[in-house]
Amino acid sequence: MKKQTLSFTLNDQAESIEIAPRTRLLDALRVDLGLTGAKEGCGTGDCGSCTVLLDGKAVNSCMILALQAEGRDVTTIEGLGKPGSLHPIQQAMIRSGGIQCGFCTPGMVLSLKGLLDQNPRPDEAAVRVAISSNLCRCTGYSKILDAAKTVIDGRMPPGAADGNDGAVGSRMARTDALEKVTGRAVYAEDVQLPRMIYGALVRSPHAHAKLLSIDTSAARQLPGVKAIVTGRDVEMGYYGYEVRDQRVFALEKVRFVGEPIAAVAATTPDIAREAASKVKAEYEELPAVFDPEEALSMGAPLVHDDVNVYEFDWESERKGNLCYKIEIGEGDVDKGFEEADQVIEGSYETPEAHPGAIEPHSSTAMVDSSGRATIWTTTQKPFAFRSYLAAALKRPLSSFKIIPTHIGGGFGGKLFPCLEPYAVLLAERSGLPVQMTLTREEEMGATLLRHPSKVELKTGVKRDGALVAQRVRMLFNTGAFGPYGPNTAALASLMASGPYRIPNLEITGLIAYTNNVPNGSIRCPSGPQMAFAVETHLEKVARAVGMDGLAFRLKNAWEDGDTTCTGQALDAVSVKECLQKAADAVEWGEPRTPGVGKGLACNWWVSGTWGTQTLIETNEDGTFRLISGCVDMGTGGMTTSVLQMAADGLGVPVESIQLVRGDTDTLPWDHGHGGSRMVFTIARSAYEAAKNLKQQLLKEGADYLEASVDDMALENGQVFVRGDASHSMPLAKICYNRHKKHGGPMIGVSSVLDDAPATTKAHPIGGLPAPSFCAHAVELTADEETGEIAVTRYAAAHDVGKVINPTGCEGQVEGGVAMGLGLALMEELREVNGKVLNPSFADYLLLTAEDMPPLKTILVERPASEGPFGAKGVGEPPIAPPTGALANALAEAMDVNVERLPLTPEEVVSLIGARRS
Amino acid sequence: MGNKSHITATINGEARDFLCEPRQSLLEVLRDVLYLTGTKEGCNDGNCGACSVIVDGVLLDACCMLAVETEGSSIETIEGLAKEGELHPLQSAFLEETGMQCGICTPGFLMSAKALLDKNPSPNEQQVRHWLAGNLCRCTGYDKLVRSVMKAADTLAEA
Repeated sequence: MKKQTLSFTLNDQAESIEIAPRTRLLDALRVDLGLTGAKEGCGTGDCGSCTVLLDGKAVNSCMILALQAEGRDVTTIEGLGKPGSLHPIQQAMIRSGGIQCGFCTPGMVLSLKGLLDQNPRPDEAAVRVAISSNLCRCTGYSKILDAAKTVIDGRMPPGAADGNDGAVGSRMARTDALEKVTGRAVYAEDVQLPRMIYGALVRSPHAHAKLLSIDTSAARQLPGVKAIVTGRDVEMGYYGYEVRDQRVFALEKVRFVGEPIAAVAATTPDIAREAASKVKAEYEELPAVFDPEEALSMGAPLVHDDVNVYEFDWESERKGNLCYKIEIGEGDVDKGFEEADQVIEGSYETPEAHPGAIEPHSSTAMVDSSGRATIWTTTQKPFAFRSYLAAALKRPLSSFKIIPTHIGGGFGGKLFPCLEPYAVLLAERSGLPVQMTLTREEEMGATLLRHPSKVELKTGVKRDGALVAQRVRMLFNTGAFGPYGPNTAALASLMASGPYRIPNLEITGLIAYTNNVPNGSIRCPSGPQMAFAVETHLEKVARAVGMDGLAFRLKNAWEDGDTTCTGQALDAVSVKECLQKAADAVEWGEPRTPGVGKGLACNWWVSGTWGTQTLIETNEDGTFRLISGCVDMGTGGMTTSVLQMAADGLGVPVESIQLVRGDTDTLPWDHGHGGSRMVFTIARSAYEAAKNLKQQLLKEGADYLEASVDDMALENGQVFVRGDASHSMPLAKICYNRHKKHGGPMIGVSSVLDDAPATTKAHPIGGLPAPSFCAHAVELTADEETGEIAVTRYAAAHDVGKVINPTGCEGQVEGGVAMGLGLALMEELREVNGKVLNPSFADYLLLTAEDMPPLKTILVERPASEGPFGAKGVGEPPIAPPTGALANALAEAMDVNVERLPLTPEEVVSLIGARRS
Repeated sequence: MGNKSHITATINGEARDFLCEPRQSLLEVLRDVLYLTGTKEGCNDGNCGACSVIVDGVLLDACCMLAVETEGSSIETIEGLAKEGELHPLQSAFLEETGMQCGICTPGFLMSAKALLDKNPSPNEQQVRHWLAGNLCRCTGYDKLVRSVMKAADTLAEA
């Protein structure tokens, strides 16, 4: 293709490059000029992460051709501010906590700049409009709006420079904020290697079909094609989480639309996709099943011929399309129903939903001459990925080195391999580094989703509102494979009673295979589904006995000493406190206005699972390296709370501790980021490791100073004998001497064990450590004609045990509420006959800055006994209650009976049409 | 920019085209434009041989040839020596005889040895030493290198 010369001004410098005429401005910037600060989240102008300023105006650089910038002025994030001389918007974003995963940050900052350059004093509504084309999935926009406000008002929010020095409880800014706000943080697609080529997948167009043959000859003839691989060319093993039921390529048959059957690599992404389209496969269509209820009925088409051939870690009945079944209970529900004054039944459904990270999956692999693969990828679980790859490709674990890049939003969507195996196979066959990135369409149409649910509840209640019995049947559709199905059902079984005392319980959870896109373990797996079903249903129960929703909940809510359905005895229970505080924040007790609805919902959740090990090493100059194998998916716990607690344990300034970023070759093994474990598990371990190392430092000082270790102290960089300032030694000197003598550092190590609390009943997950509790309250109105819901007030009360970093903690709640509101109001991935109909951010809506209601975050501190500091998890729970709270508020406002989500305007109009009265 | 020449050449059997400035050496283009970094720069003045490549059958130092001179020619680099995952007998012999230490001169030695064997499939030791004299090695003392080339010649003769 004939190239043309593009001459323009880029970040105040004259620039001239030769490019193909059809190059998008985004690609010219990222690929030809190596400026990877502008990100590609969708490629269709819907997400705004590629925003740059063109002659001062914010534009999506994916939507214009590079040649359109001829003679014009382009500003990218790299041109805005440099470390040391940041633009005020960048400073404010760092200090306000407006940055989490950071993927949307460059675009967000540039949109704000574009606005403020034209109108230096916009009101909040104008700010919301200006950034409404920039999607953020982490923050809920609250702290971004705070950042904008401080710039507009000409003041800075409190930050590290104002005494928030990294102590536990301070608003220390995250240590990776600077690289994110300047566009320098390297995400998976920002990895650029010499001679790198690009891969694409060939996917099944059928939901269920025999795969008869694959013909790659036409694709191979396309100039630029470097490698093609199909399932027939690879030795494949089964892999998965609890169930190992999946292979890298479909072989005998395809089981869902989008299942990979081949992979192609070529010199450009366009050639790779064209070649993929030229791979011809012959299929013989088979009857398919999409409805989980139908899948479990007799005579349904079988997704897997025999589910029992797959390895499975847990005990369960498995047959036909039944992937997993869990049953747990206590007492006698039938007897309970007899004792009850009223028995209320209901059925509730939630749709398939996408985790919605703005960063699509992307992986780059390079294979060395010995056959060992190095993989740069966006992953929440680098070590597990190594095991999955070893199983999937039948190779030793040591064949893979995973380098986790920054993650542009995880939310559970990056817990399981996606492109890694294909990139490895193509790199191996081509002898070249291969990068693969999903298009937004593939991302929405063929990656792991939130399980759609159908939950049937039957509840017996006494006249005074006391709950006596509840039968719960939960059915989840896991799609064609069940990597996280059993885990989801098992967690759901724990949520089936809500945080309530119900003496007689019967809980059944079913996971069905169907020919839908497979589902995964998305932020708070089963939480929003169960909070919707249980909290909406119990509101009806309260109404049936004529009780106020708050009073009813307070009467039945757990207290210290109550037990869960597994028989786990609870302590530090704060449901009632959360309920009361959330309710007060929306003036629950005030007389109700017709047409205005208020709703409540509460929830409980795990505070991190699995053990971990953290190391803190001395450097020879008296500073430290903190080494953990856990990655941070963007929440920021690792770059704030973990460091804050380590600094506290050591008694040194937080700046003297460097967080080591590494890979699976150099870091100690860890489970990865999920399960709300960053603070409860990783930071706890870091704190203990710090204390361990401090003891070693004091001992070393005591030996030099010939004193007793019990008399030693460490302050201001000196180790000294307490009360005797003349007997002291600089920390740096102690470390240097020790390194020189021993040929290595002092290392503080601590393991936090996977100690689940005891239960009296067997359960695959068992007791949940340090459960957290929360309650949300909402006030809303709905338009009788258009069905549009307007949330007027929202309050979220979360018991986090102890606030380690208020900014980070609020950020989790605000972002979680935004995601939960999305699930309640607009998010639904629609599959018809296994084909996703809305695989884009234009058709699958995420909350924008204009949609985010005013939110009051209330942090409650009931310390967990596991200590230190008593912090509980906060990453996942905020997304669960919005579903139930919204449904209850709408039910009150419009006098309707809510049984399914999301509450889109169309749904609300149809509910109004079928009013319960 | 503007002033670049468009060159078409065959590199390791594959037709390639690239843009280069008239002053750029073949070595610069191989490494910086085509990212074929197996060819090394040791001195950039034709003394060390680390950048040895074969152009139209002639062994030469890539640092001493302008890239624009390669229009229409056929260039062999170390990246083309192994074919479809199979090592060249010279590479196998270098591995078996440990004909390398730090490895930076290795690609150049292999290309020089290949040029020799292409011309003279059964050289004597003196001929090998003479042919490799344009390549400097600071690690091995050359004995194992010479032995590797002799062994590869034997292997090729048997094949």
